[in-house]
Amino acid sequence: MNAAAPLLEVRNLVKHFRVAGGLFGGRSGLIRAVDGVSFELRRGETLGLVGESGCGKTTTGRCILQLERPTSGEVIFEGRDLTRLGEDELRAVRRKMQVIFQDPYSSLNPRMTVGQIIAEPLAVHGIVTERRGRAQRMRDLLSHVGLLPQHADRYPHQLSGGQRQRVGIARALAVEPALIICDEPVSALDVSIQAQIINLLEDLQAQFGLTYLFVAHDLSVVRHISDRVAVMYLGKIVEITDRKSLYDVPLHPYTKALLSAVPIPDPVLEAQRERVVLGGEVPSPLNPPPGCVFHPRCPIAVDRCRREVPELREIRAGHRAACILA
Amino acid sequence: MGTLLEVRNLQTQFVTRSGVVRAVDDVSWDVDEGETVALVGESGCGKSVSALSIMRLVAGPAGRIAGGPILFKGRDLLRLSEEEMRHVRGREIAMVFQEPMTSLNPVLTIARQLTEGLEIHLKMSPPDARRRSIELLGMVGIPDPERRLGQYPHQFSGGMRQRMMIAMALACNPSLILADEPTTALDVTIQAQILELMKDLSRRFGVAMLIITHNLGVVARYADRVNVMYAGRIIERGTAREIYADPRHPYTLGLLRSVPRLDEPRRARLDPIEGQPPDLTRLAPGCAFAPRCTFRVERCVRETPPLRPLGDGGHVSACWEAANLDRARARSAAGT
Repeated sequence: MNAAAPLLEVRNLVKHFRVAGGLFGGRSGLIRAVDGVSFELRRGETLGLVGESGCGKTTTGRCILQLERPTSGEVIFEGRDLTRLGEDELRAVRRKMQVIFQDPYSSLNPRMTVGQIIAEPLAVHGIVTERRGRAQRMRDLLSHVGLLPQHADRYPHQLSGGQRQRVGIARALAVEPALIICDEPVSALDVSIQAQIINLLEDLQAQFGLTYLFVAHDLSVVRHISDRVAVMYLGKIVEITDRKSLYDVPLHPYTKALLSAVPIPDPVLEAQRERVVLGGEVPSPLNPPPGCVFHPRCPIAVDRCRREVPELREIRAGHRAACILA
Repeated sequence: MGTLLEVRNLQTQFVTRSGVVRAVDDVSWDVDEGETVALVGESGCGKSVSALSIMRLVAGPAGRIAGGPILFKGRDLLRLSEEEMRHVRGREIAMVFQEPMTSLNPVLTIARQLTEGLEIHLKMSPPDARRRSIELLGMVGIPDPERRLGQYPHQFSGGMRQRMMIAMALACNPSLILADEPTTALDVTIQAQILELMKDLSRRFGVAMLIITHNLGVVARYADRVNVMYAGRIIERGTAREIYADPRHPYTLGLLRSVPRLDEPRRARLDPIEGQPPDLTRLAPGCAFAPRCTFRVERCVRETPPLRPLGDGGHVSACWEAANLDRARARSAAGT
């Protein structure tokens, strides 16, 4: 395989959900959860995918895994378009792509011990067929994620939030994946534990050559862990570039507002800081505004923004933004 | 400015199958009139239980308040009758919760939920209460308040619901608002809106606020004084500037160092607090933070450090090594 080819390439990904009018008279229509998203993920890198709730970042992740079948577009993983594969073919591919969820408690089976949870994918995917080998591999995985051998006999409810997330990570690692989609992996954890998990994810990436798609809303965490960052708003990528460019010279007004909304733990700096407080709220993806989807909240919008859909274009080398004024 | 609320030696305990949990363990703090005070700590540190204790909403028989008094405008809230307490709740002390959807009644209109308190506490007539409700919704930035009054909570977005909670809290002109993680469930851009709104309203109406949060970043801009809690106790208190510029408890220092910051160069590695928060049913003697503490000395595992003053301001820390933290910190900074 060509080493320079990206591990994952997402082309014009679209996912629309049809909703029917509900019992309480909800509106029916089409939710444009993901509306034409394209990006590449190179081997060994971490791409941060940030945005507010409802921007489509989680759905993008689910469409890559084919947990949701995209409405249109291509998801090319190791050279194959996953959207064209059947369920049987996908099972083999899924071994190479794993996911870590925000809330490890609801994604771990409460009736299985930690050991069983971690060993299960080894049996399901036929990675280690012999029972004793599985037990050994399970203990290795526990130690990779910083858990002790005795944790194998515990149930998820007997663990703390941070320990549960370590179990979720061990299970994802079990099948030796190339790509892990981390969907808000630390946002449900206490602050003092978040840093432990982030360091662990970085260590594992270095050790096993993993590629991460890191889906999150916390811009400080995303800056720490990502090589490149894509910012999503209402189903579209509005800006994408390497970490340094995004945080040093953000081009899209939405990125600028997001950055300025992040609180800094220092009262002196906060008092001096100029803050762009965005008015209004994210519009409904049932009925996105015409033109640039951000224009109703944009502090610099001009008349053209109400009519023209801005394309994601290269404004500086390797730095693309969807804003006609950038 | 006078003291509005004074919590003295509060102890709130829960009886569980695995033993007695001292969720709040002999904690004292106060809020001045018009002041914004923060209670900061991680899950299980006792910050929310502190607020519930003030409102006397700790559910019995498992939960009980053992210490006290809790003096509000000089009266001990723990000695009020249930009837008198009902007058305090909502009228004099209001609460804003983290998840507005679960604290609003889904089958009542916004109008009904706003006017209820006004009619009960302020004895307003229904038309007056309605007029005041429209004014309140306008005040918290809800557009088209008259139409909104007829709607139900599910027709509001998360940010709008939190605005609605703030309107309800302000309805009877309370002198204190307890805000328990008021922005945690909201998006970043909405968080900024809500915090600015709360700060603005508290200034305009001279309402004191107690902000309960796990996020040190959130309170930096808004709190006058900060109390840091760990395992049921306050382990450090000071003005916001003191706490952030000169933290004197290893836990506070650890919290500040463990978060990546946008205003600082990116570090190669984060500096977490190792280990897990303690199990409150099985607290060892000595300082509860000792097992995770990098500044630990032999005394820490034997004797629980009391809150002791540092200098002559209000800055206090419960650490035997508080005075040496500076030097130790400088050493570790030089070492890395």
